[in-house]
This record gives sequence, structure tokens and C-alpha cells, in this order.
Amino acid sequence: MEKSKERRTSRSDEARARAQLLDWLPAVIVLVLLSLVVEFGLFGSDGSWDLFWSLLNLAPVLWIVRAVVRGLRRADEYQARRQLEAMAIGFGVQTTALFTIGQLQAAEVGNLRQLVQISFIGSILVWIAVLWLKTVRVR
Amino acid sequence: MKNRLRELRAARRWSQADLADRLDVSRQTVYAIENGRYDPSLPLAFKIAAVFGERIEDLFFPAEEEAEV
Repeated sequence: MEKSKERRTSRSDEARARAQLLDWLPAVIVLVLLSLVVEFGLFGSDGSWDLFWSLLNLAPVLWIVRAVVRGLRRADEYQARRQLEAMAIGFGVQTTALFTIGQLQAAEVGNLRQLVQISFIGSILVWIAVLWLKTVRVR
Repeated sequence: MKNRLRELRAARRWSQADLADRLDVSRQTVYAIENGRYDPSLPLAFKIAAVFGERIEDLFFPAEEEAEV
């Protein structure tokens, strides 16, 4: 009983989590809708409008950038520091991966598009993993 | 940096979450400060001091002073 009381989240944590959800939700919904449109080739997404539908993905991505920045500003000082550290490591992994991909491409090894996507997803996973590892001991 | 947060919190029978509510921070932040994993900024240190009604220098002290106290 005492343990569960001790481990409950604080009110500011709950408020932050609610705000974070509201910030991310529109972008996630739009990304899912866009994926469905492109997957099923709706509204000309597999024809003359493919460039438009591809670029439209930038809108939810920019919304996610906004959500991340807002989340960082909303975080308390300890959380913000941990998030920034994790982002720095994720950014380092991303730039190193892109540099390596560039070198591989110059040597005509590998598929650039696929490798860029893998490095992008990988760096986000590294960001999340580092954040988790840096805070797991204080949960 | 060492501190007396755990001791003062226990004296008031507050959980970490209770103290976090009073400081408007996450429970993880309180845990990290109590365990010396994180040293709070000056504004947060002042806030902690105000919550406990103590002076900052009575709450936080360098690790080497611990043996002398």
C-alpha cells in the first residue's frame, strides 16, 4: 500500500502526460490516414498526385517536431536534461549513420533509400532506448 | 552533493509523489535528487527550501562535508 502510494505519478506528471497525448494524437492520426491513402492508392496517390501525397507527410512530421519541442519545454529540469542527452545521442547516431550511408553510396554499395529509412528509424529507437536507460533507475 | 530531502520528507510522512506535487516536478526528479543522481538548479533548490521551511545550506551540502556533520 505504502509502496504504491510512494510510486504514484505526481500531478504535474499526469498533466504533462495528458498534454503530450493531445500534442501527438493529431499527427499520429494524420500519419495513419496518409499511410492508408498511399497504401490503397486512393485520391490519385499512385498516379499524377503521388508527389503531393508524399509531401503531405511533412505536415504531421512538422507537427511531431512541434510536439517534441513543446514536450521538452513542459518537462521539469531533470526530465528535460535526460531528454536532451538522449536526443544528442540519437542525433549522433543519425549523423554517423548518414555519413556511413554516404560513403557506401559513393562506393556503390547498398540501397540509399532503404538505408536512410533504417538509419532514421534506428536513431529514433536509440533516442527512446537511451531515455529509458537513463531514467530506469529512478522509476 | 548530499541532501536531507529523504529525512525531512519522511518526518512529514510525505511520499515522493506528495513532495513532487508540492514542487511541481515529476516523482522521478524527487527520487533522483534524494539519491544524489541529480543536483537541482538554484530556483528548484530555493523551492525545496521553501517547501520544507529550511535554508538551502541546511538542506544541501557537499559530499565531503557529510563525514563532519
